[in-house]
Amino acid sequence: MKKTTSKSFTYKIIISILFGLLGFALNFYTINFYFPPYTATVLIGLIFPILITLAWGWKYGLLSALVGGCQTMWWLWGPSNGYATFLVVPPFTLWIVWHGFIAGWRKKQTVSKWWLSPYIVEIPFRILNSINLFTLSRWAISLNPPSWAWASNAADTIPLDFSIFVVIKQAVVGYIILLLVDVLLNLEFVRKFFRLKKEYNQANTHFIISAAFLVAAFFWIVDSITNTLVFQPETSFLDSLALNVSAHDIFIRTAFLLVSLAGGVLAANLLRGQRESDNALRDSEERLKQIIDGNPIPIFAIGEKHIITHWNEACENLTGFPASKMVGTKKQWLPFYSEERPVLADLVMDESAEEDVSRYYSSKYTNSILTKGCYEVEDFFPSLDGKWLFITAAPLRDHLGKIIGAIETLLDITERKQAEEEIHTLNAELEQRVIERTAQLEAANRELEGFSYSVSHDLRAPLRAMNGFSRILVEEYEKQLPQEAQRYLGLVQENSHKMGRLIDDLLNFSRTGKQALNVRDVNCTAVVEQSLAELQTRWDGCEIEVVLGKLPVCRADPVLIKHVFVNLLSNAFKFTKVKKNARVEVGSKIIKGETVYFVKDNGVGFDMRYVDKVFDVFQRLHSTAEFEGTGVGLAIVHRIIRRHGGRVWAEAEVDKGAIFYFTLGAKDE
Amino acid sequence: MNNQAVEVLLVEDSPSDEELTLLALKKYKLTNKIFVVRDGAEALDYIFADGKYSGRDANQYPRVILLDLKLPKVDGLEVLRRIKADPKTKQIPVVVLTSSDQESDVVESYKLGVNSYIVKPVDFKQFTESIREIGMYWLLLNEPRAQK
Repeated sequence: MKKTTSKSFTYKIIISILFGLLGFALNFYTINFYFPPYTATVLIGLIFPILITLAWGWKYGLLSALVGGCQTMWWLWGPSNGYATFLVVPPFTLWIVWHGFIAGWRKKQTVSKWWLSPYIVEIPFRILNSINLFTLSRWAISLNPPSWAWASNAADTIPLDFSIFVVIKQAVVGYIILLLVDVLLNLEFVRKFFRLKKEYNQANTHFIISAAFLVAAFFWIVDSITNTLVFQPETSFLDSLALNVSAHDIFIRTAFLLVSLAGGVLAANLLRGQRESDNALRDSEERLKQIIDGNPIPIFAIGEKHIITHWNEACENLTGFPASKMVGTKKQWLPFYSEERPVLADLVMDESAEEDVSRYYSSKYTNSILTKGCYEVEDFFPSLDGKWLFITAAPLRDHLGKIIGAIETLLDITERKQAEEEIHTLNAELEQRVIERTAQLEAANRELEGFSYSVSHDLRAPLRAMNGFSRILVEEYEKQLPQEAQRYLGLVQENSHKMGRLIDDLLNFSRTGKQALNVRDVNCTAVVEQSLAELQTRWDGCEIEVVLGKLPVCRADPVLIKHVFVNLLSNAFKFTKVKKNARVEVGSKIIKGETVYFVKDNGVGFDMRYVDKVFDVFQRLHSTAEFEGTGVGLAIVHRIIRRHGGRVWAEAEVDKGAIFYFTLGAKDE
Repeated sequence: MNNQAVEVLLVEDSPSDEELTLLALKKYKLTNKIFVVRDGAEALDYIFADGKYSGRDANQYPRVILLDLKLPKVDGLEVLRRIKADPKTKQIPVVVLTSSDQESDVVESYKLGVNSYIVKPVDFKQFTESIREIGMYWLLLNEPRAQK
């Protein structure tokens, strides 16, 4: 890579120097046009450095100009022109650099910019140079007038028309040279020589410029013939053609040649622009086709008169219809429906009213949220082996916003639909199962309710009779009954009481499981105070110290939480009342971010081996003779806490006391 | 048939409870004018002077009805509903006297317009106390409604 670069670098240096020298040599053969009293001298050698600068940039141009090219002028204009030379010659070098600089800039542009064309950037240079010729040059010449005489006799007065003449001459020569270089750089062999990129349609350019040249040559010959035959019969044809052509004829014919070449270059450029935009269009169409074809989603597009323009491979695979049979036809309905009808793309393209869409797709369509005038449809297609498709269609618009077609995408959603259906079936089954299970539960609940109703009614009545009649017996027949008989009757009463309590507790226990939770913020401290007040009467007379610690507000059912505290407190009192310095403490603490409430006593406690049994219904760790109770209280506590989503546990030691802990899961019902 | 104006209608299917109630009422000498029926249908017949009680003076109403809820044939709540639905009888004070402390029964009874709801205690002492309170209030303190 580097090698070729340095190779081409050497090549460019050598050519630049060679061309400079060539220009240097050529400039000694000036083309002179006589405009009495002045002579217009055209330095055709300038064409070489400007060719280099436009092809390779200002650095090579400057090299070429310094080696030769412009330098000729020092000789040509020389000291005979006085100081004027210093102000006239250097601008030529500047001219080369300026065009080379702009050419470099022009090459970097991705989009060609008309104002960077050499013909346009020539203008500012020409204006500045003209100002120079009218002011500085005139002043310099007046200081040291040229050796040749002006038309007027005063050597130090420069006629204004001389300056005007020079300005015009330089502008005309400048443009002629630019035109010639432009022509040359349009030619294929020149571009090859300068190793430049091949332009589109190079052959055409060649042809057009050659044609322009031939036309000019033809004119040259025709003019010579006409001269010989009509205007100057004394001149021979060969003289008129080349050997002895008058200055006027050369001027006219050269002007014609230049005009013809200019026209040729212009035509070639326009044609090339046209060709470039054609190619760009073809490229963009090709790109669009590739985008659509490469898409894994089936897509087709319709254009003018609803004729299919695109039918991608995914669409071929989905429908089984090849693009070759579909594109160019209006058979977009064929793969999907059994008879001819508009597909969604057709409806969208015609901007059909929503009623029409609904006529063809009933309620299966929705308006797209993405694009206005775009519809989405989910439909089942028996003709496609029973596929479900998610179809979207959107209008295609031209740059004026007019609809010129439509694009339709067809997403196969069969699997999704099947999954959905499966979910529906499963849900329905699940719902059915839930309904059945709920009904069973409700039946069981009703049965249980009936049972507890019976218990509360039917079990109590006989007890009441036993209790009542034994009492009456004792009261009414006190005197007739021996002491022992009275004691027995007392036992009957006592046991009936006990059984009554058992029934009450059992009913309470079964009810705590059934009532709906009514969860709200509960002030625990207040609840404990209420519970203590309720228990007061039962434990009046016992010396028990009660310590109430800090209790946060909790989320619970206030009625049930009170049951918990009443049961735990009465439990604690029951087992501490026999002790001296009896002490019951209620409090709370945070363990692992969870509020734990506790009721602690220093009573008789229990053996931790039986801790599993304390919360079981009817389980007692102490004999009834020692401590009264039915063994339901803690079971109720357990059930209430569990219903709140919390936990309850106990720690105890025989004769040291017991602590009951519980938490309340923040459960809302 | 008892010609005396009945003061208390006791609707009770359990003979033991009936006897205990009567004993309690008598113990506190509240009244002797008690009439006992054993099921809901009979209670309705008596109150509305229908069926075997069609000969009864339909304008004579007891001063208070003590009604058990769990009754054969027609249950207590239905009896209560019928009494309270009829403008002629709805003035009669009805005291539900039952073993049930089921919340639904309590709520339903009050909805139907019961005047008192007493749960029969198992303990006889408490039981007689309850009966005494009922009798004191509905028979002695409460002014009898003007008879038509």
